[in-house]
Amino acid sequence: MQEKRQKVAIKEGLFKIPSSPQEKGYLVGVKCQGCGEVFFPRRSFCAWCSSPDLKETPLSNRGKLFTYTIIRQTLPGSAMIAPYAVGQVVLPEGVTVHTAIACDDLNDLKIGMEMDMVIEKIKDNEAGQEVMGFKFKPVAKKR
Amino acid sequence: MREVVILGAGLHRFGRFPEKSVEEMGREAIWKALQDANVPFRDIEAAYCGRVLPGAGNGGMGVGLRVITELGQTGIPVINFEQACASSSTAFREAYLAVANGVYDVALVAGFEKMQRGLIQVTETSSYDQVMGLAVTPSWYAMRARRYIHDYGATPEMFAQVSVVSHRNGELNPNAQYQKACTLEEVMNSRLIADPITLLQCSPTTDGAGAVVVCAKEKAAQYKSRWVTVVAHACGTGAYVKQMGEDGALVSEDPEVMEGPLEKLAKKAYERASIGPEDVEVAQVHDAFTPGLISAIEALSLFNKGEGARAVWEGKTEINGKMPVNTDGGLLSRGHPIGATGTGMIHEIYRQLMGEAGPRQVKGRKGNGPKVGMVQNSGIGGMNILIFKN
Repeated sequence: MQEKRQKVAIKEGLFKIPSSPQEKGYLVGVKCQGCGEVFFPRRSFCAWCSSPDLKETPLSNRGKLFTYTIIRQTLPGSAMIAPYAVGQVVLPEGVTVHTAIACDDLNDLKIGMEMDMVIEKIKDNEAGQEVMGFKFKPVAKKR
Repeated sequence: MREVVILGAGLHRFGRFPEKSVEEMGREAIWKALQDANVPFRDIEAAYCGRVLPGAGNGGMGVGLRVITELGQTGIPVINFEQACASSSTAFREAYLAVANGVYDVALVAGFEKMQRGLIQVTETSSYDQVMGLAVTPSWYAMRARRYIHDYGATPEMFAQVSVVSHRNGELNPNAQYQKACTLEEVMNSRLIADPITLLQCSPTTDGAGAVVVCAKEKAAQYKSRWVTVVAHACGTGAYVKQMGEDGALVSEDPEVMEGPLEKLAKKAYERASIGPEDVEVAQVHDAFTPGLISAIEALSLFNKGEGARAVWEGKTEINGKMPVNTDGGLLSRGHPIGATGTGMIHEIYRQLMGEAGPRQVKGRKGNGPKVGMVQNSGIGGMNILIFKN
């Protein structure tokens, strides 16, 4: 049997990688215990009230596409090969996530459409681990 | 606070000058500004410099001192500002505040930069943003443009037209990097960078330098008989907009994606100047990418929200239009040497208000030249709005 390869997040603390197929991953936000505002990615102090009392909170996996664009040039060091889409997805917690978009046909993207967060392998690292990143992809159409 | 005036301004042409050092270019701009102001270097009490990128011919640390001391070693304070694209407008603001508060009577502002070709790298190559393909500056503007098209029914051609107007103005400017007009078809058919932004809708990388001499108004008459008065400034950074209401529900489903609090800063500047947007007769705004000009002219209330793109399309921002914008070609055609861009903008407004803009001269509402001009210079490091009167 093939040995299961270890998965590591592209940036620690950004999201929770599911440890079994039954589990769902999620983005890790922080909620201000002073004023209730939620942030992603995490920060040390609340942007609104400057409280240092922020607690981790799992964010919703579904949001709405606020806007997007298709980038036509691959950046040095990037795992995203052009053309690829990036966008802003607004979650119910009031968080706007700047995200790469996973989409088979970039023509399908529409402002306002529902998007789901997915955790995908981005690349392998030198230690032979799978480096995982998150993207958002359009919610599959119901047939 | 004392009234502060601009006595003179100078530029080293914007463009590509691989054979020249940043020191040479800076000195040329400063020398021209001093001559224009009729101020001897010995009278300069402090120098405020904007510069961003090290390397690429910019040399090492303390670049301001290397530029300045060749003009004279008079022992003055030389201060460097790194505020990304807003560096030299910030340097200008600090010089203005020092003179207004009586610290100095005469001060020098300078901006200079030498850049490499290609996209500016805003983060390290190994960073999360870079690996995930998010650290692409034009894509941030492109996302804003796409949302604008969605909200207001604008077209990609309207954004492209910003570049057409800029290049037409640049053709009239001997200091511009690109002195060649281009057609809408050329802009639309240039390489796509991030939809809807094409290559000709991105400002180039540029070498260049600019300088301005500021002086207390009460001392100005000993040097010159005419000047431009600084009537307002406003400086700030992006402010967080609270998303969650008292009841725990979202304030808005559609977040504000503006670059920052430009509207608020513009309001503050208009109040300080005791004028309204209807009084502005010429403006220089930060068009690093075409959507930047649209959002700026709306944030400054020069046009209503949602009407900026159409206004450009209808010719209202052209030199002979109702509200001329970026008469020197803007960042798109005049060029964008990051640390020098602010002084470049101030230089153009100074020329316009002095009636010295040659073929680019704006007529003004009464036909005898503009009386009120405005500068908006924004960057990752903050944003500045300045209002001037002649």
